Amino acid sequence: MKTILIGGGAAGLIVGGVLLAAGLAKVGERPAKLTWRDPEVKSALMTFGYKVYASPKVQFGRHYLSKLVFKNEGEHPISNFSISYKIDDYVPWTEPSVINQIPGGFTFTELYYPKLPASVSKIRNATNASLQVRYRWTEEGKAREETFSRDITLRGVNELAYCDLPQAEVQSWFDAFNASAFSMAMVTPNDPVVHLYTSEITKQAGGTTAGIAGGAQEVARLCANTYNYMVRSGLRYTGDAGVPTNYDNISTMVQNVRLPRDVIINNQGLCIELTLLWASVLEHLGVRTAMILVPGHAFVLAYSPEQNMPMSQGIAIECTAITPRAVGRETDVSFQDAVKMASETLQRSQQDGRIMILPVQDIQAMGFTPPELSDVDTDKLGETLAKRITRGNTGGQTLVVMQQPQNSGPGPAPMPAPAPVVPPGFAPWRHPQGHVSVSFPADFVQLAPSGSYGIVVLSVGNPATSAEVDVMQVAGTQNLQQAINYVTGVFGQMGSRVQVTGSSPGENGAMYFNGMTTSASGVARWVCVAKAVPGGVVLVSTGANSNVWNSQSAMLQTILSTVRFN
Amino acid sequence: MKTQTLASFLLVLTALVLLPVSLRAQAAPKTANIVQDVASDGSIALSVEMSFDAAAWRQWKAQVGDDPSRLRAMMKHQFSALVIDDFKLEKDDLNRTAKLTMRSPAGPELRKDGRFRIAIEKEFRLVNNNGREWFFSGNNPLANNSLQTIRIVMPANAVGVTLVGPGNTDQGLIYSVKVPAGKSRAFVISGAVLALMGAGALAAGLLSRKGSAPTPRAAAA
Repeated sequence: MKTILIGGGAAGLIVGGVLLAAGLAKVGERPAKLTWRDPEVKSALMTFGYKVYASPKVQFGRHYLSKLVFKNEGEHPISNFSISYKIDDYVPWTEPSVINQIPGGFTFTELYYPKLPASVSKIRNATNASLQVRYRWTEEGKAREETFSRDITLRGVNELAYCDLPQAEVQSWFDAFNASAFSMAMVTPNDPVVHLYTSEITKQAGGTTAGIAGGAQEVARLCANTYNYMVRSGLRYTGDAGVPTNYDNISTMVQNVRLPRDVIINNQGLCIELTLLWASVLEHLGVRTAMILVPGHAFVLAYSPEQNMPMSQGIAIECTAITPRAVGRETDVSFQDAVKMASETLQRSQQDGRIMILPVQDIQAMGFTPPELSDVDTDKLGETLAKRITRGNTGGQTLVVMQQPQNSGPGPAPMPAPAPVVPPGFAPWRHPQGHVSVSFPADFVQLAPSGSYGIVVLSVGNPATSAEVDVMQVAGTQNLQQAINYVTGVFGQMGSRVQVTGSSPGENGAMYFNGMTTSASGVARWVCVAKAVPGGVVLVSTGANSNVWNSQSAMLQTILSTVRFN
Repeated sequence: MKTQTLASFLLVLTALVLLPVSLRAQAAPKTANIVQDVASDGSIALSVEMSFDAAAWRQWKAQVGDDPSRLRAMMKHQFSALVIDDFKLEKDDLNRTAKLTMRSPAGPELRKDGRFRIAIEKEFRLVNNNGREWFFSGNNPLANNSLQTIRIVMPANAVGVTLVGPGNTDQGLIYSVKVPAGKSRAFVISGAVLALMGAGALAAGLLSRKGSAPTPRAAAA
């Protein structure tokens, strides 16, 4: 009996000791182990929208810079997890975000919303920077640390990328411009430069109560005076469509869009820039505005719900009408006509369905707030603005038709267009700036208005045969291949796939390209001739659906033979 | 923030935020029942059952329902702050209902104090709970004010589940998780018991040998 007790007791003691030791050593359990998925880092940020990236609340937090998904693969907890970020000299190492304990098997995400300094809005050209990420944790009593870095691009303060959707998911025009809300961060009603400009307008208008109690009539009067001031001060529309850019898996149109202060200082702007200027001025005066975005164009809508003028009864204004040629006119366009033009575009676009209405205040309230801007010498600017008023004051009347002498504006006079070659039954056409002339069958009808997609100067054709001729202009490059790539990108954004299948040199620096375009309406073949002109490249393209190509090619060839560049 | 994004995601999932405003109301579901099944490892299985009137069903299918891959892609893009896996869409044309299911491996927010938080949009008010299941209901302003319910199934080992900030923007459920005894703990306990018992038996055996009276044979020797 004693032997059994001694033997059994000894055995129990040994087994118990082994079990105790195993238990204390946690034998049989998976130790804590932190793992993470491939970090997701956005490779480009728009610096004018630096405040957007700082906020986890904008658009469900999707404008983060980096996203990390961590998991504790073990059964034991991980302790003292912390993560910190740094962006070169722009953002020093951030205060670590700490989680005291991560249970076994637990997954969590870490998103970084960088608080970039206001100084990034001084970046004029795309600048490379490096995001560094450092995380520390303790697993099984051992302190660990991991760091990695990724290159990112801080875009120039004027660079606006319209799309942040992966290229494979872009189906429609809406998709191609899904990031347009960012442009609302470029509406700067509180910028001292805009303040000064607005003061000049109200001075000319004899003051305004549009934002207080003036009612719809006063809003209309203010808009008319703003328009007239812009005409009188020589503000001009200029064209620049932007450049298609690829990054990550995104293909987007990137346009150089100047802030309203730069438009005021340079006294010229793109349609979107003029729209942003209008919005800034009117918002400063208490009138609500929306930017209307349609394919290839933008204009402003002014309204005032507080004064029984809801958005549906707002005043749409064609901002580019300040430059008559931009809207196909030879003489000055009245404010009334500018409103009429915009209203017609609005109506057409609503029927077409491709229209985005971006109410400034609503979108800025979502977090698309403007950047802090550097100080400027407002005294000097005030003198400059005063000197600009060289034409008659309209005395603050509403809907005034301005009379402007030909070519009195600051732009260069157009070149005379080359003499057109006009075969029998053909109608001649001249480029408004005289860069090119071309003739086409007289029964061709307009297929798209000038200014469509930001590049179309002329688009005519015969819908029955699908034969057409298009004249396009790509600004900002003298490189023909770049221009054709750009056109390809524009049509790609619209859901068409353009393939260039060949090219050959033409006379006097011109180049011929041929290819195919696949779209929802089928496959079309085309031949195009491109040539560099002052300020850009002009392309004249003729084409038809591939199934009628053989029957139409002779006529298309004749059209091409009439092309004359200056 | 991430858990707040998840809560917003549920609100907009039925609201078709991808569509132009004019179409949202036309394609909004009549009712939507959302179930969030929270696991102790932080993952959440989500299911959203929606029922539609005839006109809305046609619109919903045309805009979203007949292109689930597009729906998934757009949702993943709009809610890229989340991690969404295993997206599935089932439709029942006869009853004009659809069921979306998906999984988020990183659901509740892990707070500094070691507890977890699940956010609930302020539009949803607590109706009832039985400790494990929490029922909320409300009208979704993003989906034509349609009636929606949310049932949140807490992890089986959740303890101290508390609703904080009811009706506010910070409304949420806070809880802790009771960690089950691991193998090592069983080893420690059983080892300690066995060792104690062994030590006791050994001691008893040794003591009884020392303290016993000599036998007659030993005395004679």
